[in-house]
Amino acid sequence: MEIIQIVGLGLIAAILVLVVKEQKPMFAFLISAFAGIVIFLFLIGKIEAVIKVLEDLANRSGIQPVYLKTILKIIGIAYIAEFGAQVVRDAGQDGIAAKIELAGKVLIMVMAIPIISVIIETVMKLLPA
Amino acid sequence: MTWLSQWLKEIIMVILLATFIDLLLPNRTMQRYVKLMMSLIILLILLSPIMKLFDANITDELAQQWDRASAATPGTYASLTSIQREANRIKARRDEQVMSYAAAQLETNMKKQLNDTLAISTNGHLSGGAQLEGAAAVISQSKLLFQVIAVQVKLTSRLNQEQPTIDRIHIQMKPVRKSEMEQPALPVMASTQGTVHEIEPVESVSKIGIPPIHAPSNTPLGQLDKTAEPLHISEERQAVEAFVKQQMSQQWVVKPEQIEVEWQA
Repeated sequence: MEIIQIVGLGLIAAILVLVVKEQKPMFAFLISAFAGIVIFLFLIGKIEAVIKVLEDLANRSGIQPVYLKTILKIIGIAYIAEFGAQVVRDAGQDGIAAKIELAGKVLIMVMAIPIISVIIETVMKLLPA
Repeated sequence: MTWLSQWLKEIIMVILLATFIDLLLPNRTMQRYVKLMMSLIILLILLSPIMKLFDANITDELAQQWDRASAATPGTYASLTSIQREANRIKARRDEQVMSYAAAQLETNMKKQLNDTLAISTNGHLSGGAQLEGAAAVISQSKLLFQVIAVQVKLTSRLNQEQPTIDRIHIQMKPVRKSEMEQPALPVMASTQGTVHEIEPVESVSKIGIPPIHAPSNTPLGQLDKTAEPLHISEERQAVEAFVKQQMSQQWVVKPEQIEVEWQA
């Protein structure tokens, strides 16, 4: 039934935005941002359940905890950057949205650097000098 | 063979995780980067048996590097909220210490004052209230001297109040014979005398069972006086309790319900 709540909230917010937009574009943006934040907060609880299951699976299979932690960090960065970029894009600031996305990408790449360096080191050791 | 099964398990789990996360991801722009990341991790796990030939603990090294990378940005300066949290914690601990010190001071003051007033009232000079004349009279007439052994005060501080208030007062009292108080009695001696005194009435209960009504009223001060003592003692105790509660509530602005008195043999 939660999907009905979320869709209803979205529809109401959309209608309100359409009504308000003629008079006050500022408030229209505020309504849309608020609706987006509410839906996001609603989803965070659900995502938590998914992440718990993932952690449980990883613990039972004996996978290294470092990997799982990194993967979860990547998902978090991706989600938050995406959400912020969308809210900013709703406000009509495409430039800032693009910068937020760039920041998310860079942060994900920073996480990749240790893996890349380890792999490259191993390959260098494998090859005879 | 265990390392092989472990390796296979890791590979399968990571691939499952990767597909799952692919589903979870928001949209295409991020997806490429995340996919690259996941493929790097899968590659690392696939290579891990070879890595082990050269370097025993890559994962530790990786974890170290990641920790360093994530700690480098905010780690040098503690955030304002963490400083405030620390300050609150220290403040709470200091308040607790102050409260316990204040409680200890109150306890010694209360004990001294109660013992003083009790000693005065047993000597007969008392400037108490009118309704307490009976209690004071009982105390001054009784052969026992009542002594306060210990006072325990519990303080609480309300949220909207600056000053802590007295929550409960717990008083431990002990009856001591007057004659022993004339010479400076050691506490050990007093306590042993107290126990002897308490034991005596128990054996004489069987005597009181035969003439139940007129035993306490008209007996000479000989042996039979001891038979009347249990009832007498409880009366005296009640009187002393009322007296103590009245004194305390007058002096320390507490309700009588907050005071509890415990008797020790």
